Amino acid sequence: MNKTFTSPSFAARLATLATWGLLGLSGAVAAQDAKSVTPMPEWEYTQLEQALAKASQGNPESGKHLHHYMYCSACHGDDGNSPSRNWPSLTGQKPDYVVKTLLDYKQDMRRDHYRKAQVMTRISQLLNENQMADLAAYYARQAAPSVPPQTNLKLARQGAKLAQSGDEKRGISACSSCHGEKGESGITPDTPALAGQTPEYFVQAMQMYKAGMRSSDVGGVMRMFAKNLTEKEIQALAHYYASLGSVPGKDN
Amino acid sequence: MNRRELLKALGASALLLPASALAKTHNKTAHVVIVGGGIGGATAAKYLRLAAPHVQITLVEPVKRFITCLRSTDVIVGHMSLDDITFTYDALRAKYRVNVIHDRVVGLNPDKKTVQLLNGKPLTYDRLVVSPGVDFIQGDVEGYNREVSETVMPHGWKAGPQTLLLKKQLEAMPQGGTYVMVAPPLPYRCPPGPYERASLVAEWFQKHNPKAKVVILDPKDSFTKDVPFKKAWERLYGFNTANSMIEWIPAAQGGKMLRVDAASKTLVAEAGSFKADAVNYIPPQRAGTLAFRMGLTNREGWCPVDRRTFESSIIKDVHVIGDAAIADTMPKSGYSANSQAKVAVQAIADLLAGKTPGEPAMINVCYSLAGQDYGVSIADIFKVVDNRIVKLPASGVSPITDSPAQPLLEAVYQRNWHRTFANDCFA
Repeated sequence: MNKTFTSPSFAARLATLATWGLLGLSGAVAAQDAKSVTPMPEWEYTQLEQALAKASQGNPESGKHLHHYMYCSACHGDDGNSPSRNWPSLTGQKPDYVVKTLLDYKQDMRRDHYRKAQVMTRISQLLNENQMADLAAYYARQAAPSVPPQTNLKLARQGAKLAQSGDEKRGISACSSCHGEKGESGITPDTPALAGQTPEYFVQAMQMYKAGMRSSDVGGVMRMFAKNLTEKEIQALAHYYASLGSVPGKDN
Repeated sequence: MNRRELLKALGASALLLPASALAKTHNKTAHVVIVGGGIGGATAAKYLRLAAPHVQITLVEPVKRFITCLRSTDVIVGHMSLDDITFTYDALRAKYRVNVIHDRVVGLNPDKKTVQLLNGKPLTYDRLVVSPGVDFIQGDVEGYNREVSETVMPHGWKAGPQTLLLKKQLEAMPQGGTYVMVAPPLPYRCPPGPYERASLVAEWFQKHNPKAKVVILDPKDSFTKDVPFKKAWERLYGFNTANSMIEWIPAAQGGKMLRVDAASKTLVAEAGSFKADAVNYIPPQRAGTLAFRMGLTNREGWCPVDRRTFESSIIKDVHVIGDAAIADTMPKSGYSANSQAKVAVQAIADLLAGKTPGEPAMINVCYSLAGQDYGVSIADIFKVVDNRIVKLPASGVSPITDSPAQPLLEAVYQRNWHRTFANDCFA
């Protein structure tokens, strides 16, 4: 598979983590989840790197078949562009992130959304790593999701500043420094593309990070940032990233 | 006690009512009394509050903790406990301002519009909702009676002690034994229920009693979702092979029961004699006894209603919902009861406000498990045409596919559905 994270960027990421003093924090954050009895398992960077290094170059045509055969399309839309406010769009997503997420589920690391995550946990346990790579290649070959119709452009403008500049005083770095200038991709396998994402799903994900109930962010980075965001800021960011989606009819 | 005697008894006690209870109600807050706190009654209480914020709502239900039939087969095979399917009325009281009275209704006076309680004072209603569920008919099978059902041949068709009795008998079976299920004739509560139970018992055998088998004696030749169920049985339990763990004997092959001998656990059907180690005898059914005592039933033992409002065709201002109501193509399921409750209380809210009730659309979805990781489902949408409930074309049953994801997803959906559905009724 296409290895988008190379050694230099991986090292850069570690440097960023060290700057924020986040190494070794993950266990403490997970412990905040009072509802889960057993602590959630989490990735170590080296572990994740090894797991992704094993993944093959995906075949997008096989991925397209699997998208229907494994009923992914039932929730994520005919082509991966989600028709539902509850579930994410997958088109244009970075292959590493898709494979990583499927591995998260397969290893029962995702217990966010309460028991709703079980759907993905059970399905991913039916997939082998080649099939995961095929699905990832299929989603990656497509343009980013189109701008969701419910996107609020006024809110999007409010979100733009925070996304592009962060808030130094509160220790929030610019979202774009990891997720890309236009939300197109991230520099490490655990930073997804966000452009065109369903805003309601974006909000759910951030609330899960904020509450410490989602621990799929290696090193607890998103939990750290989300903790300091207000509900209003999360909404604004959701609509900002939604607004960066593809424009239907335009050649992307 | 027959209806006339009941009404007479009620007439006498009505004289003792305080004057306030007999005052005309049209210039006061309307009072809706709901009798029966199962799926239908609990949903009615909650949704009436949402439809009519100012109405006074009283729910009468004898038990304080209600055990749903939904998922009770999971209790029999040890995947859930009775606590997991037990619900209280706390949320109806606290969140929806429902006055929940734990008492038994012993009489109805439709002229004075009162219901009489065993222990409490009579209740005067503007509209009455009755959700009485089902009771059993002993039928003409020699040797089968109530005592047999409470000891040797449990039905397990009302959750609680019956569920645990059946669980105990399943666990006590000798290795390689035979579990005989007697399926009921239509109409009955939860049409796919017997076949789900047969499936989950076979799955339990795979783990705990691998040479045992399930025999279903059925007075019918087909059943709901039989195509996906039989495919699941082929895939999971060797159905249609010499080593099948499930044997289904339909009416055409002699599935109809003739007699039982409780002492030797022997069942004689048209097909012959079956010696069982555990018997799950699910008898024929009719509307709950309360509906009979209230005079709400027809000759067939079910409650005729106006399909748009679920108001009884026999007694004015009384609505009957759930398993006991005649709802044509709608199956007798918890989902149907929930859907009918919403339609009935919206109609009541409209009628109390002097409006004409609208045309309802109703839904039924049944998820069953053919194994813990194998779900089959049916979904239907209904509307009323010429006072008959008919299915719309936008209906469907689980397809047969070769995708491993399809039955697995249905099983996951089933569990999520159960959790949210129970909340919709009780929380």
